[in-house]
Amino acid sequence: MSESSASPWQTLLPAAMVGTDKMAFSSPTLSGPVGALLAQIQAQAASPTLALLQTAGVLAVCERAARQGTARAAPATNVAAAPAPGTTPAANTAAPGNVPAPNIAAPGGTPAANIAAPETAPALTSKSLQISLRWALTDAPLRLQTELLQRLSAAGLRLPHSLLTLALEAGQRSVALRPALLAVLGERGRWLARQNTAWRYAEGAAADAPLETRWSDGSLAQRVELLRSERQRDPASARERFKAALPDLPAKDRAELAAVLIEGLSMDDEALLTALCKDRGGDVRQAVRALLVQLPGSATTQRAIARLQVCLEKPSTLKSLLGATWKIDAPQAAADDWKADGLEVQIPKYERLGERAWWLYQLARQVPLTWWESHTGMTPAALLQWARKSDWTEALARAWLDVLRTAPNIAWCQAFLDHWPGKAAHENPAAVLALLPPAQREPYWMQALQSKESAHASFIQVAGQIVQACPAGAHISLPLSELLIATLQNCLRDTAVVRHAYEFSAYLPELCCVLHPGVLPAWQALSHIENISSSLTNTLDRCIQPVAARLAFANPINPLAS
Amino acid sequence: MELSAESVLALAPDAASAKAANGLLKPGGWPTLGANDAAVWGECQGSGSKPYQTQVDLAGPTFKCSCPSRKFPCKHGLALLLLRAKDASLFTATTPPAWVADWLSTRTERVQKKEEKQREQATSPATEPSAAALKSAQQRWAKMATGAAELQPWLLDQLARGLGSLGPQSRSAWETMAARLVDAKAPGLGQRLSNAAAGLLQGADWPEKTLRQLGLLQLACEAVARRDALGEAAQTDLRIMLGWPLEKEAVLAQSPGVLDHWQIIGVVQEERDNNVQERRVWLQGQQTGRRALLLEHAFAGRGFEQSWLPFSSHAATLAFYPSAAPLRAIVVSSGGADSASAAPMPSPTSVSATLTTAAVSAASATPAAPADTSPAQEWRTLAQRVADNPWIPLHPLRCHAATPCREADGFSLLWGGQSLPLTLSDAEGWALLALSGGQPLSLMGEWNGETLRPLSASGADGVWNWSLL
Repeated sequence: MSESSASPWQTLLPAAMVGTDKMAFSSPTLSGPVGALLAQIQAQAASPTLALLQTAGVLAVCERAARQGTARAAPATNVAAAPAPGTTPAANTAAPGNVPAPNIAAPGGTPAANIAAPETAPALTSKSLQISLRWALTDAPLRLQTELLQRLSAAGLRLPHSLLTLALEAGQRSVALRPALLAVLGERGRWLARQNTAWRYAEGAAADAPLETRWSDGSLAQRVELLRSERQRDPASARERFKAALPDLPAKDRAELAAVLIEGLSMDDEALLTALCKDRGGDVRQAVRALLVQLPGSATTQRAIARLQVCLEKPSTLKSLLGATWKIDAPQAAADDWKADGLEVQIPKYERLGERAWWLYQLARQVPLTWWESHTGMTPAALLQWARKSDWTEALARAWLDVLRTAPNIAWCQAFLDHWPGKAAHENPAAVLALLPPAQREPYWMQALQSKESAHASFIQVAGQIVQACPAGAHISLPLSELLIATLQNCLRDTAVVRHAYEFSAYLPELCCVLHPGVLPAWQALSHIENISSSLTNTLDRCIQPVAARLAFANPINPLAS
Repeated sequence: MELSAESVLALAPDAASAKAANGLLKPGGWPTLGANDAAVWGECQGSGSKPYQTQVDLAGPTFKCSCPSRKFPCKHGLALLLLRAKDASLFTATTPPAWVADWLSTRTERVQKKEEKQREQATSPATEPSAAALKSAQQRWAKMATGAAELQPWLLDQLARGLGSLGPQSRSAWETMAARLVDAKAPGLGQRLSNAAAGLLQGADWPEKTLRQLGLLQLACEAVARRDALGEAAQTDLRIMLGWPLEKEAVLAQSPGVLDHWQIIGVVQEERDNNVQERRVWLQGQQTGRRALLLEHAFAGRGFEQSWLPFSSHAATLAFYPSAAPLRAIVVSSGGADSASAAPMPSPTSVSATLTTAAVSAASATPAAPADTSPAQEWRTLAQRVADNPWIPLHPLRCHAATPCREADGFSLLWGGQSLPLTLSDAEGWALLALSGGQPLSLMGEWNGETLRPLSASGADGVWNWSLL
């Protein structure tokens, strides 16, 4: 509308609000043909009310014709500027007198252009793959999304612009997807993320922000990540950073950040850790002691070893020739210096162990696993077998598991799995299995699948563990995949399996994303098995799209027809 | 017709159909799949014993399926086209089976008959309306005039007492007056008053907004009172605004057809009261440069028979509704050369006929975009249109070298040194930004006097258009 300082409506409103019965109406004065029309109305109208209504009508229509946007200087672009509108010719009777001048001088110069940088990588062009990706970004499990995006990145491609919004929203919902996503966003994607506060995570520029800013402004999760990566590069400076931040952190943060120090742990850290043993927070003390156990040279651990050594009795050479083994006996009494080292004398209410077993458990928990091997000369497997025969199985098993969790040790994990202490450990072997890297776990899975137990139960259990253990984007080895498919085939052919269809449906859609790509054609053949119950068929149907997507994305530049 | 997932999904009658169609994409569920230049067909295994027979006539596209769904197009039709877009190699059969060939031939017959009938109506001299028709028309005008005559003193009364005296209870009084207008066979007028009633006391600027609406109602009253002095075109515009639509046959009879290569510049679909879907298709003629609006309604679940894909171009003859600023039109016949030679057209001269044949021969090539218009030209055309017919609710705007950008609470368009507020969902806004990357686009939208609703955009990297999802 015209740039006149007072809108013509302002002149009309007082009379309109109060009522023309009570207030006289005066027409606004405008220049040009419109003004003449309004003057004519005022002169000719039968009543002031009529004049007011007619004026309102004229103004409404003129406004409709003339109203445009608000003036805003276009930012300087390096594209050819928009065609400069020429001087507008004289308005006809219906057009308003004032048309805003097109080139309004911006206050203080033209703003800088906000344009995305040119792209460096080619976009995914295949239409069918774009369709698959659109489906995957909304409906597929996280691991499939990660895998597809990783394959794109490996092929040197980026997301086409039509998928950027969907991708950024998926990354907003799922933190774990972000690394794979950031690799394929391209310059346009990063530019787009900068325009929306909800997509800050993808800015990419944030990664360029100085370390100090990220440390001081970051959330706990971000700080943990930061500290971990710094610890890998330079353990000493990471330790100093942690130490400097300590006074300001709440207990929970202190405990979580302390746990990060496990990376590159060395005797240099002993001083800090020992000091933290007196921290106010129980979580912090626990975390720190667990770390100290991993430093056999530290004073704390030396004391713990000394206490435990007393409980162990080595058989004399003569007796050992006769087959006698080490004996272990729980302490008879608690000493006074226990409290200082975090050993509780009083059993907690919920504890199943007896008093002496409780004491033994605590003592054993502070001793590194390697010491057991070096002191007794037994292998981990032998130690476990020995522990099973002793009176204090539960205390020992639990203590060893606690130490194992902080610093997983392959030999001990395997020993535990092979010689599980049974009910003495209040845990599932799966918890220990989880400590192993997936490559070490495969032999156990294959063993479980081939066991004599009911095929579907072991299948379901192994499938569940595999799905939980395998990180997004990774897949299991070919032999294990083939074994899984063979087992699955047998299960599907077995009509009694229908009762367990629900459990299958929980795992199969994710399982098909974890298998080695080589067995995917065999998976597709599963649908052709006859006489499968309808619920299982539905489950298999849900796997069709993920499997097809995985096959298609094997080569994103030249996709297979899926 | 260019098949892509986006364009197929744009044909879906609602989001649920689109999602269901996506679920039908497994090739295993389609025992038969075939395609040729004219059509795509397939059999889909549903939950019943006999598979559903689905087929699509690509020259439309028009759908037919034997499933019992009342939605149009149904999910099977959509899925069939999606499959074709995704992987054409699945469609092995090339000779259509009987149930496809029969349908296609009856369709072409039916379409030809319909077009012939429309051409006849268009070319036959406008028959004199019968005396009975004239009388009923006069009666209707009389009723509407009575309604307007009641409205006039009511308007004066409101202003005499002042808008300040209105309170929440006034809304029902205004609604009552609106209902009286509907009874007086002027539903358009009643709707405008209803809208004004709904806006009472809403927002800080309600007095100005209400005064504006009352001003327009005043204009309407005066127009009805002076209708005989108005030209015929203005009278038609008035009657359409009042809510008395023109019959399609009347339009075909009165209007000369305009033959051109029409490019679809924007499509939008909205729900109205009573479960009615309204669809607006905006066209721009490549030779004439004229803009046209196809306005259609579909009821409760049924879709629209003809689908229009944005950025596609059709040679067709349109008949414009008579008006002082002609905008709304209907399709008389599609195809260029055929219709030009089959029956004599009332208006095109030999010049335009030769132009058409040349245009048709280039039909298979990608249509050239219509010439760019400057902001000043667009606003001027718009102002002229308002001057000729102030009752038009939505105006088409084509903005070249326009840059979308994000504002604090929405999106706006920088164009010609101005910033226009945009009406669109967040998802649509981000999609537009992703397309532009800060660079200018060519965008088309509907301007309602305050905001712009974008319907299509094209840039260096691709295109975007409004869709149901």
